[in-house]
Amino acid sequence: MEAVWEVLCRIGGVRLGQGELAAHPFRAASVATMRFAFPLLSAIATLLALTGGASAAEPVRDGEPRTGSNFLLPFDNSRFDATKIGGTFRIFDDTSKGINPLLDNDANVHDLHRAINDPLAMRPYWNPEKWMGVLAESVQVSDDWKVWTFTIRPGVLWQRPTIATKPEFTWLDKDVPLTSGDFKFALDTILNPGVDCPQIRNYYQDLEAVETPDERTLVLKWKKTMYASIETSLDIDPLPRHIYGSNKDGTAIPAERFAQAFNKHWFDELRGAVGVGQFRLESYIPDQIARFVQYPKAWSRTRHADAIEWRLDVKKPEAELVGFKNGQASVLSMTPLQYKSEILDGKEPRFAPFKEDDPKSGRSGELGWEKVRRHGYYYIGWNLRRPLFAELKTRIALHLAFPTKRIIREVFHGLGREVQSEIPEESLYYNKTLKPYVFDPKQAKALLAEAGWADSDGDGLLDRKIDGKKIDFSFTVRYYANSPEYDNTLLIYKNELRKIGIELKPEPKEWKDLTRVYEDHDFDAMVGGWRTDWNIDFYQIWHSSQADVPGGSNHYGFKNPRVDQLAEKLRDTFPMAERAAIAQEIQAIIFEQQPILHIRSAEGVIAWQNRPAPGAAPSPWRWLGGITDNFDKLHPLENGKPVYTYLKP
Amino acid sequence: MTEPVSPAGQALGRFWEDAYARWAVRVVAVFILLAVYAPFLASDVALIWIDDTGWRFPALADLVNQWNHPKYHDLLFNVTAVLLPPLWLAGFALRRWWSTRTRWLAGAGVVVATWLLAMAPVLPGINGGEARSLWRKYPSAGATVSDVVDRRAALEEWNKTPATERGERPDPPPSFALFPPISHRHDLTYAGGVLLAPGTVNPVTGQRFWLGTDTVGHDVAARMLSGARISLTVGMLATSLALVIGLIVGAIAGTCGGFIDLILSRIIEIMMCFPTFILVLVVVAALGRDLYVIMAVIGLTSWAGTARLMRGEFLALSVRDHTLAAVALGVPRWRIIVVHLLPNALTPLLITASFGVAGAVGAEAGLSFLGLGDPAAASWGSLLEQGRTQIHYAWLIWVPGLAVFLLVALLNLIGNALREAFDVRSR
Repeated sequence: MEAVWEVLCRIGGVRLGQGELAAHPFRAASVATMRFAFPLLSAIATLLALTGGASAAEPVRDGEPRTGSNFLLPFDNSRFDATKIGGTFRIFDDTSKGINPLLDNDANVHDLHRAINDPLAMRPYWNPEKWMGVLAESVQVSDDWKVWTFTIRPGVLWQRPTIATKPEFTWLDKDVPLTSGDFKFALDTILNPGVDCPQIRNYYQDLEAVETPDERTLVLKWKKTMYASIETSLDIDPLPRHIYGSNKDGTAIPAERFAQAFNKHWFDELRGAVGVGQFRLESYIPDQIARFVQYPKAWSRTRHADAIEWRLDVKKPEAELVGFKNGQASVLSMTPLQYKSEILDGKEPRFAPFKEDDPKSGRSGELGWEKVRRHGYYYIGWNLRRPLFAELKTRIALHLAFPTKRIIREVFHGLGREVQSEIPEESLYYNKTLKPYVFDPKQAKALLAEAGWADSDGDGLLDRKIDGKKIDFSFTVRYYANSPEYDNTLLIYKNELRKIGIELKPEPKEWKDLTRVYEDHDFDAMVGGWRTDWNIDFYQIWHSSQADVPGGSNHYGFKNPRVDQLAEKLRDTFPMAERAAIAQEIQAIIFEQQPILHIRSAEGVIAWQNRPAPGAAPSPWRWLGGITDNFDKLHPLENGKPVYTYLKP
Repeated sequence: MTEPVSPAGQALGRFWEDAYARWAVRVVAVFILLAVYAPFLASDVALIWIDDTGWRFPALADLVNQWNHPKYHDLLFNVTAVLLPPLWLAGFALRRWWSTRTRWLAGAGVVVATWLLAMAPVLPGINGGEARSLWRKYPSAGATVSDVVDRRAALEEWNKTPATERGERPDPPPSFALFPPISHRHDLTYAGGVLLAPGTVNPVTGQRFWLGTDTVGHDVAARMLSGARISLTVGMLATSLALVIGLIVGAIAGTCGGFIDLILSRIIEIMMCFPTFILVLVVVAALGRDLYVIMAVIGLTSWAGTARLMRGEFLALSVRDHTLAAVALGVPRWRIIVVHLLPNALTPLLITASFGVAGAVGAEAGLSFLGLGDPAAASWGSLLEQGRTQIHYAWLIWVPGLAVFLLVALLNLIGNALREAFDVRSR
């Protein structure tokens, strides 16, 4: 009944659409106030509806970014059930190099701060194309999309760091409320040229000013209208000003010394991290364990575990599998070969067997498993700066000689799909007219002959005269060394190319070397992968300007004036239909030009415990029951259609 | 009256009396023969191919195709495979005139000369181009198992097509084709052949994977034969390098004495302090994972023991009467080393060599097992590495594991028997 009451109150509040009320919406008010307010608001709303007033045109909080009104979905933790709290959620993870959320550009650091901190707004996992307010109760965006005004949730407290119990840190042993100043502090730090976070700063270069009229109001002013400002405005984490702005003794760091002090901050050296989220970092022992525990004063609860443990001491996939099967981890991300042996070949009877016609068949075993899609794709990129790949027919032939289906089936064991573009095929942005090249070595050979490749010296290797010089069709592919799947992919491709007179030489590289290889464009061809997100932007990877800048992401040297023009236009366009049309045209051009060869989309297998760990007290509820419920909601774009397309293993 | 037998001959006689040693030598000889004749035992290229155009021996022509045999040691094994029967016959015919040593040396000389000749650019180039060597990249021989399947399918398709729509008649399948018993190549990945159990039939060609397949569809049996070549090459070359360095350093330290001995002995001690395998890991990580780099690194890091042994031998020999007599006669030092000391110090070297080969085989397998082997080489260690991560597919562990164990154990047996045979105290 309480829930129904709250929903009604919310509807009343939104329909009013008043700036003042929107800035202080009903959810912040006490229940008593709402009970009192509802009849009056309801009456006004009814009146507006009857008089044909603004009610039909009034926007609702549907999570779709728009100007003029608060569009953020209200924070939703309705999936949380207080009676289910208990147990420790354990996963295997890696030790990160650092711990600072701005300085250490590392996925593990990002995960750590996601566990302990909250952003202004987030894309809810059950509908990632929308935005839900988290620390922001509301947002108002100016008509030109340049000014964003947030109202910060009241009553949110910074966690007390665990070191606060030590005598020298008693100055930290107090409750510090979150204010708009903490967001301004975060943005000022990012924009400070002395702070060593150039990659994040890149996203905020067009931020003109950050203002905090009061403790609950944050105003961001952008220099120009940009679609990307939606993501960069909404997805901001606060930074604890009272810690990062202070010396070890609690005194303030002088402004002129701030950047230097921040780059080597004493709090990072102690491996400390605090946030305003549900979990507090209790301990972080590199290469051993990181432990997070529910913070009693957290402003909201969404997850049921009492504690989260990252096991940092298990590093090899095979050791992780054994550990998981012994109950040392709650979940495991399986490698394709583990999926093949444990599930497809049925070597571990505790996993429910694979059934081609039932995508949920893995849920019923003692150990649960399920295929999950990830946003991303893997590819082989050609260095278009090299004469070998300059000819379009050559690139198409290379694609025709790539046995995509076989590689997905035999190397990745069905994990991943054939893709022709970086956009997921369910997305509105996806260009459905792209038709995949079907593996056809004969046609590839014919195309190569058309492009002038022939074996003129009888060595079984195609050659051609380019700029008066005979060049053999032989190239190296540089790729990450510790990936047996890509070793095998290239091995199969090498054999196929060999049959049509091309020599491929795989050259595995350690990650550090590979980064240099990408940045210096020091390759004939390279294997790479991009993790994509919901913010569709072609500029970073495909714009000509990114081909020549140091550290640019256009590794392949792709240059196309029309794509440049469209990528720039997409950054300034807001209506969805127009954006989709632009994105589809870009995809068509890139597909036609074939600067890269898509290997597969990213897909994995998550396994989890369906029973308590040995020796542990039986849990009253199945571990991760909530997560399996939400599997169906992870891919909302499919609108109830079967979630997975299986390739025959 | 019997001919007098040298002390070394007597020792070899004692060695051959040891039944274990005899068997060990025979089994190692089988290993070597399997490695030498690997292309005739495991390949998808026909040994004999008879079709409309006549007889062909594609497997023989394939021996000098650099695409399929890209490494220098592959060519050396291939040359040996071709020359071994005629050389054996010649050796047999010349047994009355040439001593055993002469025949062995002559045979080895012919093999090495042929090997070098095959690599030399002595053939005229195409259209006045650069001269070419016999060992080079050739187009596919077109006589593989797949060719038979493809030709058969194409002909069936052609027969089914109405006469009016038919194109040119495709090449018919051969009237006779003899393939090696393992009809798969070690470096090819076979479609539909991932992690198949021993004895499973290749779904495309119908040939059997006698020892199963690995995680990407390689034939394990074919890779085992190719791996035997790698193990033997690594063992021989790495050990030879270690022995040469050890011999030179030990000889100089043992005969020069004084300050030079002091310095060299300390260097030897420093080298012995390093855990060799860790050193190999570091160097391979820095220099790259090429097979020859691995051989060189194993050789360069394992000479210290030999050097110390040689120093002791030379030290002991240099105060013997015949050496002192040579010194008294004013014989130059280099001549004393080469003529008077070296032949007497070779016996312990022979024993060290047999243990060294076993150690090098184990080291290469260990490196590959740790993922630091040559990714292009089908070594036993790389198969074992797959077995380590894929414990449910037992053939990936048992087959290469047993081979490494057997070869290393046999080489150690031989080394032990040699040591006992040459040790005067054991008589």
